[in-house]
Amino acid sequence: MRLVRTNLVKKQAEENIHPLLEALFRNVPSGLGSKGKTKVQTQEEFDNVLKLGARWAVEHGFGTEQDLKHLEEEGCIKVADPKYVSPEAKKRGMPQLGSLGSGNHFLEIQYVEKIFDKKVAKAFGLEEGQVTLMIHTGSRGIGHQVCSDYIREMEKAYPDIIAKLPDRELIYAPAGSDIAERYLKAMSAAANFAWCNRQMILHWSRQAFEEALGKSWEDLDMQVVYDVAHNLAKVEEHKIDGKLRKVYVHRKGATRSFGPGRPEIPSDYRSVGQPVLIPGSMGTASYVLVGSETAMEKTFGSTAHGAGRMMSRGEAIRSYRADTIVKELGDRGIIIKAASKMGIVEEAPGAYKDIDEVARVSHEAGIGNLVARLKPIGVVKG
Amino acid sequence: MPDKEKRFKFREHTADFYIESYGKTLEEAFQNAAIGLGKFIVTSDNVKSSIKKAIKIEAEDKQSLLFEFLNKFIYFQDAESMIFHNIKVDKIEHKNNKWTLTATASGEEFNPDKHTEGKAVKAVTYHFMEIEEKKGKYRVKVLIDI
Repeated sequence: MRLVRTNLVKKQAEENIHPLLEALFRNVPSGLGSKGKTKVQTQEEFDNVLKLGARWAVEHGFGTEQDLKHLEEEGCIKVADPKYVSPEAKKRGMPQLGSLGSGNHFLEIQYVEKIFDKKVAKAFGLEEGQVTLMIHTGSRGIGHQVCSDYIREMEKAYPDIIAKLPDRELIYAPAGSDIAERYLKAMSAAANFAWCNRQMILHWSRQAFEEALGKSWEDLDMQVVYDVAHNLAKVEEHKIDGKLRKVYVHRKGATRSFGPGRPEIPSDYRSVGQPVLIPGSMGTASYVLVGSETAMEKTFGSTAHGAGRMMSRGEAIRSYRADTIVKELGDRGIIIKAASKMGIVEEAPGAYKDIDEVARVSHEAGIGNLVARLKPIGVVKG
Repeated sequence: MPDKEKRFKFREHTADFYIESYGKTLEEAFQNAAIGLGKFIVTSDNVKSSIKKAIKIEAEDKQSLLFEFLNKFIYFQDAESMIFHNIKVDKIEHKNNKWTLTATASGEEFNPDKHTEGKAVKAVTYHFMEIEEKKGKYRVKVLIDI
């Protein structure tokens, strides 16, 4: 999940929303079977993507060094090792590098509708009325294949663990085991793929804005606010019973929410805390929160990453029509451009839990505090 | 959404879909699950059988055999943009504590101008998986991650 700010105001984006969405749709490949525009030709080169993450993208002309400073882990987990990623996983990943994908992945042009915390918002470079861009896509096929590969390997290695579990999908490898180590290195490689991919998509999004508005992205001040993963296991240091200990923290459908002072936070945000990005579903608000000391004490520095589904995909398909959703959102000033009609229906705003409630609960629990609410103006859906 | 010969159905489980397939043999039930998966990815009936693949899977039990068999088609979808609607499971064997499956699949490359896109599938899961035999009729349930 990545948030980019601009110096545009709401009206400017609204007036140009169609050219902006057309340009984004043209520049960023999306939908089923979408292939990246920049083909990595060799296995060696792809291994470099998995090792270097977003840095690989910057070294190949996608964005700047400055962008990297505002990414979790600077867009590269160093323990990543492509040697532990199977050839099948790599083959699933290679053609997808540089594409948005389908499903719940999207690009959204938004504006800052409300600021809850002026001081923190200022530190993040956000103010009311300002236009932002949200990039939501992850590790795609390579991440899933890494997971499937290691599930298979772990269940063969630990039949005694399987026997005690209610569900084979819950298999794990004991911490410190060889498989656990290799899995962590392979998963990190998949996370690096995702950071590299979002960096490439940022570059093409900047080009899309340049094409649609006739100004350079620097003049539009299209800077990265933050980029954070929401399905990843990492080794981190946390205080447990008063002692600092190294632990694996697995955030699945959760996101990191580190409080002020943690060395992992970019230096220009360190005094206020880490930006936390909570995407809404299509057509609803998204939130920027800030990590807190309470999250460090109570939730290993984590909070919820978004609104889960309330309605199954099938139920959504039976309950909604794509044309009606597009019209209703249009009436509210939100324009949708999608690769498939079915995608629009499944992601119908009514199919999800209330994002405002998710953000409110996070704030009241003190594990991620409200900073800004973003409202959509236009969406490109994979 | 039952298909015309009731070889498989798409059903729902909380937020996800699962495929329920049927057969007079285990081979047929596995085959119909794979066809169901193919028709989930591309819903139109115009997928040609222009490219043929021979598939061989080895696994330690029926569940993992199904997991790996279906995962092959997700691999073809992502790595080669290949869609298969014509699938034949020739044989499933259980010998020396090992299960093997041999199949042939015919399909073609996905073409957004010609094919109607359903949903890209990301993974097959063990969660909720069932392989049942009752009075000589087989039924398979498999949850897919989309």
